[in-house]
Amino acid sequence: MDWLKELYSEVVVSYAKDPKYRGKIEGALEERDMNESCGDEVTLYVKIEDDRVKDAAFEGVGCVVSQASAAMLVKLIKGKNLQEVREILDNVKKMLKGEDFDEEKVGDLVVFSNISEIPQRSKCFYLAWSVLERLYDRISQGGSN
Amino acid sequence: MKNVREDFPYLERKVIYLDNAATTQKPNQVIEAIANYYRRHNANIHRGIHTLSMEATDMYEKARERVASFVGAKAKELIFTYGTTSSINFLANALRGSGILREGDVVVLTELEHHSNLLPWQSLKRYGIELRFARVDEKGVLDESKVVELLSGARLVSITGLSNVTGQKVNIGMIIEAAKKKGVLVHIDGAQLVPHAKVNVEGMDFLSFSAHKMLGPTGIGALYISERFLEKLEPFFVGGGMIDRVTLESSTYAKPPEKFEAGTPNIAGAVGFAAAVDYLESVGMEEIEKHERELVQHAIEEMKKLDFVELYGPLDERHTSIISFNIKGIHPHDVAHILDEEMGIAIRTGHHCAQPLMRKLGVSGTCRASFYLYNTKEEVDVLIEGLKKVKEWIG
Repeated sequence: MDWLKELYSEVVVSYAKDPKYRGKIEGALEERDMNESCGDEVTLYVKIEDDRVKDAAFEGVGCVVSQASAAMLVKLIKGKNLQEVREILDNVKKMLKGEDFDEEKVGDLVVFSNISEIPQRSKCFYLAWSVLERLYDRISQGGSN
Repeated sequence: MKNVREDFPYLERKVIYLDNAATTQKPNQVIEAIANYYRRHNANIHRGIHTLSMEATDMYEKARERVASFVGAKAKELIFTYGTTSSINFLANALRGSGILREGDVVVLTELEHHSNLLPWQSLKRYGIELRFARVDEKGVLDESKVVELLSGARLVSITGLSNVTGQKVNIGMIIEAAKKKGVLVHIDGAQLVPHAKVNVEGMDFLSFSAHKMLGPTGIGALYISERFLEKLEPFFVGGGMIDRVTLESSTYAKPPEKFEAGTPNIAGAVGFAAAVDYLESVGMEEIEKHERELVQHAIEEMKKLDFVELYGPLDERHTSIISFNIKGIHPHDVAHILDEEMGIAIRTGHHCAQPLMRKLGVSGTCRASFYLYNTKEEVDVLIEGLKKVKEWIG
C-alpha cells in the first residue's frame, strides 16, 4: 500500500532515529504524555523567551510514527513565536481530523497528511502534539519555567 | 489432525490470523447454531410455559450440560457469565460477600497474571484481604515451586493455567496438589488453558473461561464452582430469574446454578458456546494441543535463526500456543502494522493486559503471535518472511 510506504518512508524513519531533536533542556518548560496501551512516551522541553520558542527538544520511546512526529514537531516550532506555534498546532489538528489544512504550516509533517484514514495510528501521530497542546495552554495561562 | 480450514469462513479474507489469544475465529457450525437459535427458537427462558420458551430453556440448559461436561463438571456446578473477566469479578466479590474470604486472608497470585486475574483481587485489599505474588524470572518464566512456597497460611491461590503473554503452560497439577494438602482453595484462570488443552476440574474449586477464545461467541463465559461451595456462596448479582420467593422486605433465592444468574442470560451465546465445544471435541483437544505445540516450536526454531529477534517465555516443552517476541530496536506497533498491511498477518502488540509482566521483561510491549487449530506451518513461514521484511525496511 502506498500510504504505508509513506508512513514508513525514509524521511519518517530517519526523523524517528535522528538524535538531533532529542535531549533534555535544563530550565525549560516540560510536559510528558504516554499512550498506556502501547507504551509510546514523549517528554517535550520548550524554552520560551520573549514569546518565542528559543529552544525545543524531546525525549521519548515508541514507534516510528510517534517518534518521527515528535522530531518534526521540535524542528517546526523552534524559533517560532507563540502565534505561529498556535497556527501550526491548529493545522496539525485539522490534519488529524481529515479537514483541509495549510500545508505550508506543517513542514515535513505533510507526509502524514492522510493520518485521519489510519485511525489505529492517529494516537501515535498525535502524542507529541497533545503534549505541545498542554504546554501551550500552560504558557498562555501565564505559566513560567 | 483432520483438516478444519474449510469450516472457517474467515479464511475467505486471505488473512493469516495469529491473534487467537485475543479472540478466535468462528466455524460455520457455531455461526449456524447461533443463527438457528435466533431464527427458530428465540424466547426468554425459565419463565414462559409456551413452546418457544420451553425450547429456549431446554437449549440453554443443554448448553450448560455440554460446556460443563467439557471440563468434567456437573451441570449445576457451571454458571454462565459474560466472560472470564466477569467470572473472576463475580468470584472475588462473591467469596468476600459470603465470608469465605475475610479480613486477614491471603490470596496467592503470580506476576504472570492477566489484569483480569489481578484487579478483582486487588479490589479486595480494601477489605483487609492480602495479596502475595510469586515472581517470574527475567524471561517471564514461572517456577511453580515458588507458588507452592507461598501457599502456607494462604486462603486461596488464583493462577493462570497458560500465560497469555509467554505461552507457558503452568503445571497446575503440582499447585493443586500442594494447595489441597495445605487446605488452600484453588481458582484457575482458564481463559487461555481451556481452549488449548484438555482440562478437568478435578481438584479445582473454581475455574473461569471464555467462549470467544475457543471458537464460540463473545459475551459469554463460564465459572465452575465446586459443588461444595454452591450453597455457601452468596450470589453477587441479584434480581430477576434467580429468586424463589420475593416480598418487599426480603427474598429467598432459587437453587444453584440459577441463583447465580440474575437477569436474562446470553441464551444464543450459550447455544454457540456448546456448539464450539462440540466442534473442539470432534477434532480432539489432545490433537489440538499437539498441533499448536508443533506450530509454536516451529516458530521458535525459525525465530531463533534471526539474530534481530528477541524471544520471551520458556521456549522449551512447557511452551505452547503463544509466542511473544520483539525485533530489536523496532517498536512492536511498527512491526504489527507492516505485517498487517504488507503480508496480511494479524498479530497482537502491546502489554497484553499484563503490565507487571512487561515491567519484569523490561519492555513496554511485545509482539505476540498466537495459534489455533486452523493455523498452519506455512502461515508461520510467512510470518518469518514478514519479520525479515520489517527488519529490512525500518531496522
